[in-house]
Amino acid sequence: MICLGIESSANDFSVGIVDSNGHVLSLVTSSYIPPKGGIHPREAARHHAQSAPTILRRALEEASISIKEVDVIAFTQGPGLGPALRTGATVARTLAAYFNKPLVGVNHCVAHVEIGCLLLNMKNPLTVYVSGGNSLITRFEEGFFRVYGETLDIALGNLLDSFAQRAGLPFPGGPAVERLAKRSQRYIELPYTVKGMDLSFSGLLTHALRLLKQGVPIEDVCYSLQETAFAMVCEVAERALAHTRSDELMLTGGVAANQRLQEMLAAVAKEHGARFGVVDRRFAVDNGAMIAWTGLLAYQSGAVTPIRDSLVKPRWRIDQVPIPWRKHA
Amino acid sequence: MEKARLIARGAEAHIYLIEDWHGFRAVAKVRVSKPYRVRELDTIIRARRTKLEAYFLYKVKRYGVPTPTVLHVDLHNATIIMEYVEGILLREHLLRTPDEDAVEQLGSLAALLHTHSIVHGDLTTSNAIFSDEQVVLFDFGLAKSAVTVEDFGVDVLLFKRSLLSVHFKYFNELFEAFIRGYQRVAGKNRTNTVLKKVSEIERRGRYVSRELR
Ligand SMILES: Nc1ncnc2c1ncn2[C@@H]1O[C@H](COP(=O)(O)OP(=O)(O)OP(=O)(O)O)[C@@H](O)[C@H]1O
Ligand SMILES: Nc1ncnc2c1ncn2[C@@H]1O[C@H](COP(=O)(O)OP(=O)(O)O)[C@@H](O)[C@H]1O
Ligand SMILES: [Mg+2]
Repeated sequence: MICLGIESSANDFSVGIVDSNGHVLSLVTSSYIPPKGGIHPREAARHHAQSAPTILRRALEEASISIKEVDVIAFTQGPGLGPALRTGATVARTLAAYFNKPLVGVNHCVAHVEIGCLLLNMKNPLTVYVSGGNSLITRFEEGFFRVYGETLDIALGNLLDSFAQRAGLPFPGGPAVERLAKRSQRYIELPYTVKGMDLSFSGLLTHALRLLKQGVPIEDVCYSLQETAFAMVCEVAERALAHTRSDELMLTGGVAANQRLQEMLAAVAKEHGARFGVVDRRFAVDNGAMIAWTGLLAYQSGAVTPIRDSLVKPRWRIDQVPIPWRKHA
Repeated sequence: MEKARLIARGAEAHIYLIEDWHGFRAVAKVRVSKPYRVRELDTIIRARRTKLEAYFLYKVKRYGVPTPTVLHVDLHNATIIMEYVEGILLREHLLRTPDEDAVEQLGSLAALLHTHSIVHGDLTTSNAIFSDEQVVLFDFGLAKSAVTVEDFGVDVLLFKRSLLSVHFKYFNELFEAFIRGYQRVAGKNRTNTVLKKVSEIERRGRYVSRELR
């Protein structure tokens, strides 16, 4: 069985084709690079609409199949930017209706976890999912993904991007901050805000920018920013690990590419005897393959999304999604 | 110090039982160093939380919140020695019986803290002991003085989440019991204001800041 997945929740338009053996037949993405750092939802939507035909064609070509051989069409139904999501959903609905294929709406966050499990061969990890739009720590338990911790304001990637943008660094900010941080070892205290199991990064952003204004070398600010923010993530991950007694810890999302964060979480996992895995960059960022794979899992467990229920859900939380394919976990 | 036996390992602290601490049955809560974070930050966090915890354990007692009595504080070693509380962890107790009374008590304690401008910061059923039909609250390392409805809302939301993740089978009954207890102390108006804030925080999209950027 073959599923074509469409991801369009933020600034990427991506199509992935996956078969039921868990083989990724193709993955093609076009990224909308925002002109001044910030993502404008309508501009992103326009980009997605313009790239859709080419990206679709290339994904099919790369997989060496025709659209007729696709069994299921999956798309990101949420969460994400409304206009961007709607573009992908429209493309998916059109394909499903025109070629008479079943349609499956997929939760973006669930997809990040599922593709990670596939690639890292994990069963039910505690997942640290940190990207530009999301920061959450989650694990499946009795029918739903439970959220053990999440950000109360901005996402970790958003923190790095916003800092970088205002510090005049290139977009995306994560890699730029990481590069500079590697040149420093001078820690300057910044607000460390953990509320129970939840995180707050906005105070950290304000303070880091203030240090910069005061003339503190940018390397030191980047270093301190990373050390503080990542320690917060690690603390919450560690508590969730102790709490769930999970024997697997998975790191995914765009920020998963950060080596320092990887190193720190690996140490947390080791202390708790959990196997640690980082999702490969291609599949840790927004990608259509994860949507295809999750759509396939859903479809095989009997879920379809009729057109009338296919409206996008920009604020669809991971803990509201029924997960019928994980009954036995 | 007499013989100390490790009885619990929280995520940040080791808890040792000291059978005879100058005649008291006591526990030593030692905040252990975390190898994954820079030493400077590690030292700051451990000392600060030890200090806050000792301060609030002592302070809230006066407001009628049952807490273990603090016997000794050693900031340098991030250690607090406090009274040992007999009983069963509220989490375990609730897993055996979804005791609404106990959760109602906890709700009242939360409201008592809030009406005295304090938030606990880590309000879960793992941070309370059910002792002699009474709920005793501890683990105040994340507590702080607070005056905004936002802070109170976050405190309640944390508790709600902990119910959802551990006691999801009886979530509705238990959360209602918590609110009942809260309202008994804080009154209807205040309770409603805080609950409204809770749903507002829950609704806040993770994308808001990005869209507005
Ligand atoms: N080496 C790195 N260190 C830290 N952050 C990084 C690194 N590389 C990328 N990032 C961050 O990852 C984020 C991008 O993540 P991703 O591509 O998953 O996209 P997203 O659209 O934000 O995701 P989602 O829709 O899942 O929230 C950006 O915030 C970027 O700064
Ligand atoms: N005063 C006490 N009396 C009895 N048991 C305690 C006491 N303090 C802590 N404990 C036990 O130790 C565990 C962890 O303590 P806690 O203060 O919550 O540490 P952490 O900050 O690591 O969560 C508690 O869940 C409880 O079982
Ligand atoms: Mg505790």
